[in-house]
Amino acid sequence: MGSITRLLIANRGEIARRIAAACRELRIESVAVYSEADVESPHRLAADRSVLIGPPPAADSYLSIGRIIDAARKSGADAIHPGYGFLSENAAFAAACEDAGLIFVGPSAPVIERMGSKIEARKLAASAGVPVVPGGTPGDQTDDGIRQEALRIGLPVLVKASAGGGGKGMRTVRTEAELAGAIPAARREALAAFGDGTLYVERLIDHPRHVEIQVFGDDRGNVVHLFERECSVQRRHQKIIEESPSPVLTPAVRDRMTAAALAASREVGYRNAGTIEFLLDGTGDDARFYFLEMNTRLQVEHPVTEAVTGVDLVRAQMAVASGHGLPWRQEQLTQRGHAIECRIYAEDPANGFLPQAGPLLLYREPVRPGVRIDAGVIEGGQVSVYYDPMLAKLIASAESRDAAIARATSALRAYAILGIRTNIPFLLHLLEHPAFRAGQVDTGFLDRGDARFDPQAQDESLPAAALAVAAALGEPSAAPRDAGARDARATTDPWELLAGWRG
Amino acid sequence: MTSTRVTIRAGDSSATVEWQPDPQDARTTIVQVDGEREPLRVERLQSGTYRVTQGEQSWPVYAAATRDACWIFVNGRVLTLEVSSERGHRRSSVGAHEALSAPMPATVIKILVEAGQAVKKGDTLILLEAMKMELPVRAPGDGTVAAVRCREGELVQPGTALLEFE
Repeated sequence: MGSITRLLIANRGEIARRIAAACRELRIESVAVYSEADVESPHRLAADRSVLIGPPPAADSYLSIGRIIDAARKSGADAIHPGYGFLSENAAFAAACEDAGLIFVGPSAPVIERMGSKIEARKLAASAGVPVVPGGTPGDQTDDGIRQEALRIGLPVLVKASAGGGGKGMRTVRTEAELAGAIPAARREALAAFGDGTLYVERLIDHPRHVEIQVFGDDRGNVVHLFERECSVQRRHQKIIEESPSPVLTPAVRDRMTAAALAASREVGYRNAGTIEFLLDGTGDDARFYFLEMNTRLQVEHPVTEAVTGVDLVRAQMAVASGHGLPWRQEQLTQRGHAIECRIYAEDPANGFLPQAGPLLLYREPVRPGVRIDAGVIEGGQVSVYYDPMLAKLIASAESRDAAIARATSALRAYAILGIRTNIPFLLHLLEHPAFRAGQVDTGFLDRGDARFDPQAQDESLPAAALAVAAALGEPSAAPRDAGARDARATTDPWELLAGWRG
Repeated sequence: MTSTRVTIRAGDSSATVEWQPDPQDARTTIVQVDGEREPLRVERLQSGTYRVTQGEQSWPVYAAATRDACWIFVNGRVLTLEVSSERGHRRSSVGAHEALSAPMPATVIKILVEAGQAVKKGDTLILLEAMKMELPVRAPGDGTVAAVRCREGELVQPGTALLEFE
């Protein structure tokens, strides 16, 4: 361990920009890596240097351990921050960094490996006295082997990628008949997303909430927690809205849950930022919780914790990776006010959430007190099909949950994105939904259709102001003359192409 | 100063609008929207940014145009409007053909049918993958697969026929 002077960011999009910003504050030189699809991406420009690592497919660029280690060597980096996704939870990558003499900003390779294996992680949680949900990774990974395990555990079950999180490669199976289709589909997605098709089968707990605890450890045996994040608003296991504090966690359950998270982290000797995810079953002081998994990396939703605790998690990651102790003691950490994060995705809520790709003809972020936006895109840029469709995160914080919701709503209404469809209308629909307002949302809320987004119910009127501008756009004196808007690459709403045949 | 009349459409809704340049201000267009009592003044502020005023009311509006549509952001809403002059549509409408195409660049991961096969409406014909998500291509109606025009593992572009259907 030593101090970091030049750090390579093995990621792209908003998280790469966020890490580059932390580097500037710490006067650490930053090195971006980019694929051929990201030549003009803002994360490349956010860093002091940048290195081309390969063609667009992630397997040949952002997921290529060899190419990233080469880029680090070539650029003279002494440390690597993996961000989230891609190689962030890949033990072989952490080990390769160590072998190359690079500081890996995260836990040690053996810890990543151990927590990345759902079986090992469960064993560890159980030995630390943390309750776990029944399930397992079948030794026989054939369709029939997975099927037998599902039936042994008892339906309903979740069939999911053993290698990763984020909802990729995950299927809910309620009937025996569904198994035949779900197993190969989950395996294909697991293989595509993580390069590992190993599947895990787990009993499905109906109507659970997803509550997770942020933990942080250092090399000196210190481990602290930074309270919870509630991430129950999910669509197909993909988080959409996260908040802290949880609207339902009572102080007694919070104490038990944070104590469990600390016990599990200590058991594994955890270093750097990590998150322990729990399923919360029930409400009030009697609510029960189960260890779900540990994410051995920084989370997408880390700004929610930063907002309520007032700390900088990325800065702390660098400090711990440099061999310094944790910058805070547990008793210095408090949870104050309320923060809500909304994930802005390039997908069309009016057409089955079809992912969108194309040019950002216009992109204007709302600027106002209490609103933070971490974005991976800029106006004039292109949203490509190669990577995750998340464009940005909007984090609203205020003194109360209601005020934070009002702030998020008002900011989303002022967030102008033209050229591709986004899920902003859906986010607004959710933030205004009575069940969300009342804090009564479990992880199945969206998939059951309880808050179905009905395109027909949307405002269909044509505001006179919009009509007036559309008409004036044809008028040379009022029309934008800049090439970007006029010379836009062909229309890129994929749904228009679908419309011809999709009954 | 003569005015120009256009028709603006969004989905099933349409409106007739007349506009003319403001002789006093080169940055401003005066627009009369059918059914509105007062005309609206559209002032271009900077790239893509407009201020629309109507009497005492005013709205900030963002807009961007492609060859086919105007994207407009106003009051938290995004609209895509098609503007056509009296001389006809700006865009030629896409004829209804029976070739199924990918909605976006995607990889064909599985072809579930073959030429000559009868399928029912809603049957999954092809599985695509884009952005790490599976996208099923389903039959638009009952019919027969006339020809398969893609291979498994192929990266396909939007608009390219994947399969002919009759």
